[in-house]
Amino acid sequence: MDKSLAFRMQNIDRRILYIVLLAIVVIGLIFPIPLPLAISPQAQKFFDAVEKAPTNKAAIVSVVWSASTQGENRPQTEVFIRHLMSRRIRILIMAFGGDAQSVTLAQEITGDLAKEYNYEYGKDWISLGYRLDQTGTLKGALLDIVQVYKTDSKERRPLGEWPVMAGVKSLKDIGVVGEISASGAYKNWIGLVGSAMSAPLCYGPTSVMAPELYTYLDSGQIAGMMFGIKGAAEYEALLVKSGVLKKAGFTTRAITPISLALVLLFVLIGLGNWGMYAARKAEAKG
Amino acid sequence: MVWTTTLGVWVGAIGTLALFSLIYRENRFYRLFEHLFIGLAAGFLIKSTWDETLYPQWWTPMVKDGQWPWILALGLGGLFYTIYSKKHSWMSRISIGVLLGLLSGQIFQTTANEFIPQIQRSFKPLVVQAADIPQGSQLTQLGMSLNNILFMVILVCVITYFLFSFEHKNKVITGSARTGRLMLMFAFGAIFGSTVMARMALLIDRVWFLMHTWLGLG
Repeated sequence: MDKSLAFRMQNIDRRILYIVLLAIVVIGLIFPIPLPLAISPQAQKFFDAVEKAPTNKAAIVSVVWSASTQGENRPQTEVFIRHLMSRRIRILIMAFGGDAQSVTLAQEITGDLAKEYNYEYGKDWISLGYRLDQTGTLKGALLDIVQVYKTDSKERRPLGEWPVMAGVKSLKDIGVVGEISASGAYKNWIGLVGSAMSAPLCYGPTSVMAPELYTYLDSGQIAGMMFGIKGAAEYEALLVKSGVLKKAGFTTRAITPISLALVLLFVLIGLGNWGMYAARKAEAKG
Repeated sequence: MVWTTTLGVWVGAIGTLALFSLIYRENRFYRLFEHLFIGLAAGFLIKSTWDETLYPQWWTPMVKDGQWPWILALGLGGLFYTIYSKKHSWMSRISIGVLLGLLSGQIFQTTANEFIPQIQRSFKPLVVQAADIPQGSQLTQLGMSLNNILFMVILVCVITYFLFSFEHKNKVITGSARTGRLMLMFAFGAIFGSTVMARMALLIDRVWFLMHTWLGLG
């Protein structure tokens, strides 16, 4: 056994690892491999919840993410809003979290998609704005959304004057709720208003958070979930299958470099462990 | 493309490259953009706090709608800053106390609504009848029974691991707690794998921005 090779496998220069990773990501993006993408039950349930949502009721898109997690949360938000718009469901944007970027990013995404689906601000969608205090806002909105928000976020006009708010008095009048989040904000929805609402609560967390949400899926407290970027790609595939999208976009394309990067990780873990065992064996032999 | 968009893309691309340059080694280019980023984030926070929170929720009702008692919120909020004075820091406890009181009340409600449905759903039949299988499920009676038994075993084992009120001497308890720890390890492994995927997604987003939005490739 070459002892020096075993040692080197444990101490590969991180810059080499980063170059290999970068090369894999670039190649994967330029030449995507058509990998099979199995639709997970939780993504299917999210899609079904939106599909079954009544078109005469508004939907809430709650955004709790900023630019730091947009790699996962932006595609999730896009596919969710696109699906709602394809069904001509009115959209109310709520933004929470520690960073007010969420409202800017959500308005930007919805504004771009609104042009494609001919959605008019104030009539078909509205931005209720950013609130730092999610617990207080949700508890208040359970009684009276207009009283809690008072004005919209873009034009600062009284909320009750906008046609999009017709028939929307409180959270009880909502057809479906979807939160795209990089934080544990789901506990506020479940803990404070979930049992009082009739609307299904769907969730789009980052991959880091997703494993902890399975207990809530199992208990039925969350109706469906998009598991990070993979969940967004599954949702995109469902949109293609249902004819909402003509072809898959960037999200599906991103699955190739992610899969390749995970394979690289397996290889590196394997090499590191092999190096450690080989070095130990060589040392034992003297 | 509008010139401001083009400028924004260039600034974004140079900023991304500058921050990635840390991978090679610590350098001034990285430092410059790190400071720029922190400064911009702080400035954005101040502006957005005023625009999105203070102006519509506090200033407008107080000044324009004549709801003058909102001025009291300034006093209550201002008490937080007495923490910087040794002599007056006790006053900050008033504001902290009010906030803690409000949060404590909410936590009772949150805890009940969060955990009770989960406890209810953990009561699963170990011998599943045909009527117990939900519509659309692809599992057979036997498959679902095994699934539920596995769920129950793991649940009991993991809870046993967290019994700290007595020493684990009994063989059954020790075995159950060890199995519970092993199951927790599986869960942590899943979380680690998900974390890696999340980080890769963030990298891919930036690489795609450089390739597609900046350089027009792909």
